[in-house]
Amino acid sequence: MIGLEARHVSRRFVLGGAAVDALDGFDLETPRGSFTALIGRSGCGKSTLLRLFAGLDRPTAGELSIHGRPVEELRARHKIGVAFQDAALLPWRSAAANIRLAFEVAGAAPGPGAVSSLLERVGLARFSGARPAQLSGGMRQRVAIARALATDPEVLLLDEPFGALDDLTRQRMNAELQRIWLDRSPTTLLVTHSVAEAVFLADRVIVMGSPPRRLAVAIDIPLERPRSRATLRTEAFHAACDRLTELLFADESDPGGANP
Amino acid sequence: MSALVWSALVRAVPAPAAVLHQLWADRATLTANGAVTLREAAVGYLWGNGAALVMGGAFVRVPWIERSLLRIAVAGYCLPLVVVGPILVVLFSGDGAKVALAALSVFFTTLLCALQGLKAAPPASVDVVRSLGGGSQTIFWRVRVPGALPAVCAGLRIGAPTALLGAVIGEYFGANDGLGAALVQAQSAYEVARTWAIALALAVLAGVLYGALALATAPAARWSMDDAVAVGLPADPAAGERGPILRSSGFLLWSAAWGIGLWYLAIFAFHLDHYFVKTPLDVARYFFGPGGGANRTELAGALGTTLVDTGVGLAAGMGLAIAAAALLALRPGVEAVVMPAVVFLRSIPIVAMTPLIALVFGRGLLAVTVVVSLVVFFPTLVIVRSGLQAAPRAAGDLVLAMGGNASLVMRKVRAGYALPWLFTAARNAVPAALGGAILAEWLATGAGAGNLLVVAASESRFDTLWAGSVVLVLLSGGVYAGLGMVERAAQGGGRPSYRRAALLSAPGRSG
Repeated sequence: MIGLEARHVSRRFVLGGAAVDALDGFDLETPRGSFTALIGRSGCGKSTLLRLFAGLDRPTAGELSIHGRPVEELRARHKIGVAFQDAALLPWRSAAANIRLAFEVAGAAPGPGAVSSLLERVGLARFSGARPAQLSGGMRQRVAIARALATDPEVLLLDEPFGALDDLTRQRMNAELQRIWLDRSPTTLLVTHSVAEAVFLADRVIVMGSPPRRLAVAIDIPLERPRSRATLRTEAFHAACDRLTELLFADESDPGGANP
Repeated sequence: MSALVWSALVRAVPAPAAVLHQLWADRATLTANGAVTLREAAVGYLWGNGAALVMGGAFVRVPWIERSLLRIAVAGYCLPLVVVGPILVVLFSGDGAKVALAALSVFFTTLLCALQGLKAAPPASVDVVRSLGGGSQTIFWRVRVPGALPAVCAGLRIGAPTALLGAVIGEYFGANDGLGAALVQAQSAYEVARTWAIALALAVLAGVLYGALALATAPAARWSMDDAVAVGLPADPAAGERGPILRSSGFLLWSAAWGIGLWYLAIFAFHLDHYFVKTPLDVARYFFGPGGGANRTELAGALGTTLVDTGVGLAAGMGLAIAAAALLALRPGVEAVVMPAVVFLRSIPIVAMTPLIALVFGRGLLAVTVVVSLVVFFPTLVIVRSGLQAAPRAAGDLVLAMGGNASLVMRKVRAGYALPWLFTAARNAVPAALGGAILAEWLATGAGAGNLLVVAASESRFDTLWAGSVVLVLLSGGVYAGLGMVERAAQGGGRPSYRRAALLSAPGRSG
C-alpha cells in the first residue's frame, strides 16, 4: 500500500525577479508504514518537498497524496505530525502544556494520562512542568517529537529535527526516535544532512541531486531492526554510508580536488 | 445627540479648498512662525542629542556612572513633558523653555538608543579585537561606536519630529511667535480654516523633518542586525540587562532619593530664586503643613479627573491599536498598503494638534479621549505588530501542519509572542497618554491637573505648581515601574524574558 506519493511535482519560487525551481517534475513513492530519509545538499529542495507534504505550501504543478488521500484532507483531520530543527516550543508553556497544544489544535481533549504517557515515551516524565528555557536542546526536541506524536498521526514529517544538536546527543536521539517509531510505525519522512542518521533510521534513503543535474536515487537499507549501537559497527552500515556519500558527491567534476 | 455632533463637525471641518486658500493667504506669517519654531526645535535637538551621546559614551566607558545615573535616565524616560513645561517656563527666560523642552523631548530616547547600540556589540567581535592586542579605546571606537550607529540613527530619526513637538508645547506655555502660539490663537478665536492651515503646516514640517532624517540615516539602518532598530522602534528601557534596575521594587525609592538630591543640588548650584523654585521640603510642607488638607483635596480632585481622562483614552487607543494590529497581521496584503502610512502618521506630533482636535471635537471628554487615544494608537500599533511578527515561523507552521488555521496561529502562538511587546507598548504609552490628557485638559476642557498646573503658574502659586508636578511625575513613574512588575509576574517569577529565551533557542544556538 502506498504511503507518500508525489507525481511530477514542481515548485517554483520567484526570488528578486528570478525564477528558482526548488522542485522540477519530482516523483516519489514510499510504502505505507515505512521510514524514508531524504538526503541532499543545501538547496536541493528536500525541505520544500516536506513542506508540501505537510500542507504548508502548494506545488506549482503536479500532485501529492498521503495514503491515497489529498494532503489537505489529512491536515484537516489532524493526522499529520511534524517536527522541525527549531523545536518551536512556546516559551510560556511548560513541556506538558506544549504537548497539550496538539490536542487543542485538534479540538480534542487529551484522554486521562495521555500527556504524561507521551512525556514518559520520550523519557521526560520528571520534566512535565519545566519551561523550554529550563530544558537542554535535546530535551526540547524530545518534547517536540512527543507533540508530533500526540494525536497519533498517520504520517510523521521530520525536517532536520536533530540538526542543531551535538553529535553524541544526536546519536542518542536517533536510537530513541527509532524505539518510539517502532511502537506504531507511522509513515515517516525525515529530511537530514547526516548520512549516518539517514542510514541508521531509514528503510530507504533517497538522495536528491543538486541543480542543474537533478537525479534522485533511492537506496534500500537492509539492516535488521531494532538497530543499535552495534549496528553502527557493522560492515553493512558502513557500506551503505559509503555508497550514499559517493552518490552525494557524484555530480562533482573533481571530487579529489574539492576543498570542503 | 448625533445630529449635534454632526453639525459641530460640519462647522469645525472646513472644505479642503478653504484650508489650502488660507494656507496661501497666510504664507508669509506661516513661514515666519515656522522659522521661529524650527529654530527652537533645531537648537534643542542639537543640545539634547549632543548631551545624550556624550552621556551614553560616558555610561559605557565608566560603569559606576551608569549604575548611579541610569535610573535617573529611566525615570526621565517616563516623565510627561507637559508636566515639566510650566516649571521650565519659570526657570528659563526667553526661548530657553522651548529649547529646553525640545532638548528634553529628544534626550532620553537618544540616550537609551545609544546605550542599547553601544552594548549591542557581539562579545565575539570584542574578543577578537582584544586578542589582537586592542585596548578599551580601540574596542570603543572600532567596535562599539560603529555597532551603535544603527540604533543611534534610529534615535536621531525619531527625535526630529519629537523636538518639533517639544518646541510647540513650549510655545503653548507662553510665546508671541511660532506655530504653536499661532495655533492656540487661531483656535481661541475660532478661526476654523486658519487652525487647520497651521496644523497642516505643522504636520508637513514634521513629516519633512522625519523624511529627511530617515533618508540621511538610511545607510546606517541597513547594516543593523536588530529588526526593532531597523523599523525605528524606540529603545525599550526595560529590555535586556537594564531590566533588573526597573524591576527592582526599590526603583521608585532610589529614583526619588536621587531626584531629591539633584533637585537640591540644582537649586544650590544655580542659585535659583526660592520664590519661583520650591524645594522638596516646601512640597512636603504644602501637603502636610498648615492648610495641607485643603491643598490635598484640591490636588486629589484634579488628579481624579486626569486619571479618568488618561484611562479612558489609554484603553480606547490601546484597544483599537491591538485590534488593528491583529487584523493587519491576518491580512498581509492590506498590511503592505497600510503600514507605510502608519509609520508616517506616527511621526506627526499629535499632542501638538490638541488645539485642532479641541476645535473639532469640542471641549469635553470626547476631545480629551481623541487626543489621548491618537497619541497612544500609532506607537502601540507599530510595536504590537512587530511583536506579532516576532513569533518564529516554525511555531506557526507547526500549528498549520497539525490542521490549524491562521486565526488559531494568531491566538495560540503569535499572541503569546506579542505579549512582552504589548508591555513595552503600554510602558511607552502611559507617560504619553498622561501628557496628552494634561495638555488636552488645559487647552480643551479647562479641568483636571493640566488646568490646575497652568492656572497655578499664571497665578504665581508656585508651591501648587511644584507639588502637582511632583505628584504627576511620581504617578507616571509608578505606573511605569508597576507595569514592569506585572510583566515579570506574567512571565513567571523573574525568569529571563522569553523574548530573549526565544532568541537563544534560535536554530544553530540551541543545545
